[in-house]
Amino acid sequence: MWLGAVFSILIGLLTLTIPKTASAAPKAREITSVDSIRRFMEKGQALFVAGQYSKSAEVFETGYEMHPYSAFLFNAGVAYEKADRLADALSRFKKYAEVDPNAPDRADVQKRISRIEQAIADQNQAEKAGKKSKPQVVSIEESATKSLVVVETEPPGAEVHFYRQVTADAPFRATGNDSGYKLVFSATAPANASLDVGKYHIVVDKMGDFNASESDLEVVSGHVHQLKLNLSQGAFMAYLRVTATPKQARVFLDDPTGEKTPWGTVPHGELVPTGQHEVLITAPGYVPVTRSLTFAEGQKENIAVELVRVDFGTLRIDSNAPQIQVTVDGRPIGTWSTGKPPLEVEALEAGPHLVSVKSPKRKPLQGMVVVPRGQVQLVRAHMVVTPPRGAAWTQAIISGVLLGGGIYLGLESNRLYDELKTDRNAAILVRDDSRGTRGKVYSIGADIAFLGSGVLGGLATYNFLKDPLPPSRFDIGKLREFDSQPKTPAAGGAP
Amino acid sequence: MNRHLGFTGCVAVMCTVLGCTWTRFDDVTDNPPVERLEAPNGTSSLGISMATYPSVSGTGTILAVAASDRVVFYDLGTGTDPSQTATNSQSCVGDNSCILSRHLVGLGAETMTGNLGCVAYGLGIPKDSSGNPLLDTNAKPRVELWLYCEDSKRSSLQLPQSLADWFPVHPVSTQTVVEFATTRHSGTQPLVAAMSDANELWFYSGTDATPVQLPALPNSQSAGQALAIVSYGTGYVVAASSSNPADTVWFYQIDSGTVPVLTSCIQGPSQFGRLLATGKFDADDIDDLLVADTTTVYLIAGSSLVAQTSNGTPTCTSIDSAQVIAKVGCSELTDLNGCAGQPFAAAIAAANLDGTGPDELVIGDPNSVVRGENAAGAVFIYQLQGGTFSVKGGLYVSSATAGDRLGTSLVAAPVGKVETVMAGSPGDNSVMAFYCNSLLPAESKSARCP
Repeated sequence: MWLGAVFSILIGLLTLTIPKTASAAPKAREITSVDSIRRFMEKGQALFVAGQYSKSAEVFETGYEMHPYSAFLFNAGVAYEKADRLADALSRFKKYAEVDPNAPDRADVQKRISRIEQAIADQNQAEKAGKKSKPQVVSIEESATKSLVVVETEPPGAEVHFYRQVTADAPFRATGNDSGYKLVFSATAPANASLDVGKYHIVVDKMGDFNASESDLEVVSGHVHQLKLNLSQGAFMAYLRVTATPKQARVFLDDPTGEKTPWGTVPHGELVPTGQHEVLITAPGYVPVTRSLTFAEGQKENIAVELVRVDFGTLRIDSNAPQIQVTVDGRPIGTWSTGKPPLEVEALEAGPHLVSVKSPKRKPLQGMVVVPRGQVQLVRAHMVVTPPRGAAWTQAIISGVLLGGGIYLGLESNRLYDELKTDRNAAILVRDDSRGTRGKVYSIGADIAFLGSGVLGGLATYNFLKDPLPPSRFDIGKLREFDSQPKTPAAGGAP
Repeated sequence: MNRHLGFTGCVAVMCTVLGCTWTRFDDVTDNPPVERLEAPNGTSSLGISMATYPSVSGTGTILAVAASDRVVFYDLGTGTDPSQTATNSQSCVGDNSCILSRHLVGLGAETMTGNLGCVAYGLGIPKDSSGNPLLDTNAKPRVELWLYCEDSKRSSLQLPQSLADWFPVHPVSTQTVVEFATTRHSGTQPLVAAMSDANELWFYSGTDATPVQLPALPNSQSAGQALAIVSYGTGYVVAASSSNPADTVWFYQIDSGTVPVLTSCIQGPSQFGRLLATGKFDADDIDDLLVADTTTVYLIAGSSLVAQTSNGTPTCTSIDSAQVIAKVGCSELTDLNGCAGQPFAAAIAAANLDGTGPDELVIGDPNSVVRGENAAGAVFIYQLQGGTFSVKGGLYVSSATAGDRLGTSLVAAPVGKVETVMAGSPGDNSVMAFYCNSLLPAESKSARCP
């Protein structure tokens, strides 16, 4: 098999989170004890982040003594400067420039040395004048520590070039006049470089029978990036680079179902064997894209894919109420209660949905919620307490009783009045007939009862209608991406 | 929301429909047809007997009402606005200082004592401020017939000597029967009095204050349970019912200037003569006599009594043989049952309720059931038509309650051209003035009447 002739095409891009600074050791120095380097870097960086700059600087210096990489010196200088120990910082930066004369930022370091010397002179002058010197202000850029990038090739000895991206999103072109990238450092593998934060493209030149290789690298602050490149031999390889939106899209090579380990995460470029390949590009919430490609020897192929979001989404609902019952488009979804994870309605057709929420002693809530395409919509049902109606019911009942009493008293009053009138017409009505007094009392009682009933009825009405609290509402939260690719919705978008 | 508004509207409608106006009761109860005269504090059983006499002004009327231990006076005025509370009262507690007559007698233009009007109310021994009896010229306690005259004058009439001798030495109490009577119509009003315990029956002519003793009844019977005076042109016939046996009414003829004589008697059923009264019911000018037993009221022609002459000891005739113009028993009307209790009638009187012609018969029956209230009492009005008494209505009060015993006493008080019925209601401790009745002519109706 021709593949057997290939030494290997493994680009081990080990993005080891070794904090901070890198130092460019003398070219011939071998990379040793990465774990030890990492420990010093991590410790120094942790102290630096914690604001203990002097201690941080001491750790970096110890690291340098153990592993003389210039990044330790540089980072020690930065830490001393932050600690306002300018003389110490000056000496460390001078030593950095001395031990790593080919550092890509040599010019910047020289400027920094001059600035610190001037600051020291200003301080001395201020002290002579009896004035309090101003503390040094270190810019954000100068407060950043460097990262150490270590590139190894198999076999070693290949020429390695570090290109830094200077124009955002510019593709790398190895034409020599690429305005999007700038060559910042070249060395023979194994090579290490103390690099600033940024995007880089690393190119390994063809060496003898071994093919060239290249890879993208994003350098973050305070990390140690270690790349191992196994160079292929002969002319059996091709180069594939995949870019896509969204950027977290994963690429599967010759894995149509995407069940194996991804080939890479976009943007991703790598040597691939010649022949036909199936490239699957997926991202949670997006419609997967498959491309069939056939590569010839030495062919370089860049494919760019713009994934389209799926036409369904997820609703994730919780509430401030202890318990809620949720229906979506009239179909019960379930019950959520405090302490449980949010109620998740997956694979809902994208677009507006009628969501109803009920909770005991809370105002019911109903409203349209728009389900995003390929994303999770967080929704919190803010259920407002239903105003108590006890007083209103009490008033209504008393009002009813008073109304009944009023009717009774009114009827009694009318009856007595009719009797008295009849007796008067019969000429037998006597002065001080007690029915007259009773009739008056009943009549007044009826009036009071009717009045009371009216007042209490009005109060009850008011208290029934009164609602000082706002209605329940949906608090629409941020959209979130799918954690993983959900299943396709059932027909009708129902959960 | 609409439901609640509807509720409030419903309340408003209810208020409108169901008597929110209490003042309408004032409209119907003000100036009522029946006026209630209230008893003064400390008075009980007001209305056991009544009489009227002219007021000092001569145009008004004073109503004297007997209670258990006093006589209470009300000014009825000249119309239909009486004093509802007593204007005066005269004590008469029922011991030997004063025994109330069973019937008060009103005397107008009382010439015997020179007053414009008096009421004779009892007998007794006058006492000084220390409570000692006043003595006569023989150093014996004076015994007098008490009059209360005009507004507040107390006067008296002399008693027969035999009674004056008897009275101080015999125990008396509220149970001792003293009875007075006079004629129905004004002018010179004689007075007949009786004290059956002392077997005394005497007469005052109205012009002379000297008592004239009437002849004793045969067989030591005592007369005076009830008395009446029938007036005719030149004299009077005194009717006196005996108590043993209690079924006879005796008649004395008293002509001017002659000695009174016992002329006749009429016997009837048990308790015949328990009530006596006079009035003009027939066409002649002679008073007719009303006699009641326990169930019936008889109207006996006065002319038949006047025609009787003395012929020694009279032989009594039966009521069946007497000249009875009409008689009437108990009546039942709407809301009234006068036949529910016995005896029927506690008071009878003649009254001119329609302002014309003969008198009407008014019977007070305190045992009547009114609207289901036992012994609430009522007054029945009868008119003599074609020789028969026709009931013309009943008078009772709208506030009737059991035991009021309205009609225990009656008096016809003059109000303009007519007389109005005053009825005592001892159970209610009040007197009711009925200013309206079915016979009242339209021109005499006041604002009280429908």
